[in-house]
Amino acid sequence: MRKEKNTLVRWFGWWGWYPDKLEAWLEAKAAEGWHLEKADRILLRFHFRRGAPRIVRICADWPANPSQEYRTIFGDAGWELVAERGGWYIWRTEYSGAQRPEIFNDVDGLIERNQRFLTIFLAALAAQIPFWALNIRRFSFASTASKVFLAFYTVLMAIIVISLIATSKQLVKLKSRKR
Amino acid sequence: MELTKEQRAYVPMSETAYYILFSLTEPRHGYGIMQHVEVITNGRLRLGAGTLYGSLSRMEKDRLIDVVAEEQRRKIYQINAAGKALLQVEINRLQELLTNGLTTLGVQP
Repeated sequence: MRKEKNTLVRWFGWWGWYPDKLEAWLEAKAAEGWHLEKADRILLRFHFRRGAPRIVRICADWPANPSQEYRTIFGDAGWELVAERGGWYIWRTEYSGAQRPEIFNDVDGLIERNQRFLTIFLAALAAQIPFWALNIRRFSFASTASKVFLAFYTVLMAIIVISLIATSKQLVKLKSRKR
Repeated sequence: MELTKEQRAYVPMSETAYYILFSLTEPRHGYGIMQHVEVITNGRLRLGAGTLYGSLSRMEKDRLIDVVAEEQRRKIYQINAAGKALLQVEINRLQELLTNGLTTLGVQP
């Protein structure tokens, strides 16, 4: 008789300004009976354990200055901390009925979170100005090392710019929801 | 009482901020605030843990509430004089809205 595997490891790519896709994926996994045990590799690799299918709400949060009080309030409200990495917290709670639990009861918290992302991306872009001002004259595009560096740098810049645009779009959507 | 620029920025106040400040006319911890708000709004408003933590941190930073005690790793908060003054400003604004609305509709306030 073939023994069924009780653990599962999966990679899942997601963006911080829109964790809804990750949350929906983890909730679908729980409904299939795969429950998140931990997450690593900058919260891109997820470890699951098999169990009974459960209806759960999963929320990924990136709070500003989380203290012990942050964990206490979430714990008291019935949320279980499943993973924590790089300032991100993944919370889980089981529920029944039509009312899906949320960690934010209005969009203000989500707007504030995305504004913090925007500040970081803008700061990352602004930091390039002194870098180029200091290096543009002596930078040689001829050597292989320079070309490799330039390729990595271009990808990095593209990620920052795409993140900036996506976060701004998400902010506009959230602000229109508030209105 | 003179309110700071940060404190005045709360007006017009969100329903969440209003009920949190209102709940803290008595000392309460975070979960106590959640329960109280749910009871006084007949279950209509359920504060999210993330919303509550963010609001309490911001209100503490803006000196509208104080931490008056700590029990079993739970902070106990209470509204201070500036918080009460701000709440009064918001209540006056809401009263004006209500009075003008009722007057326009020909209903005695």
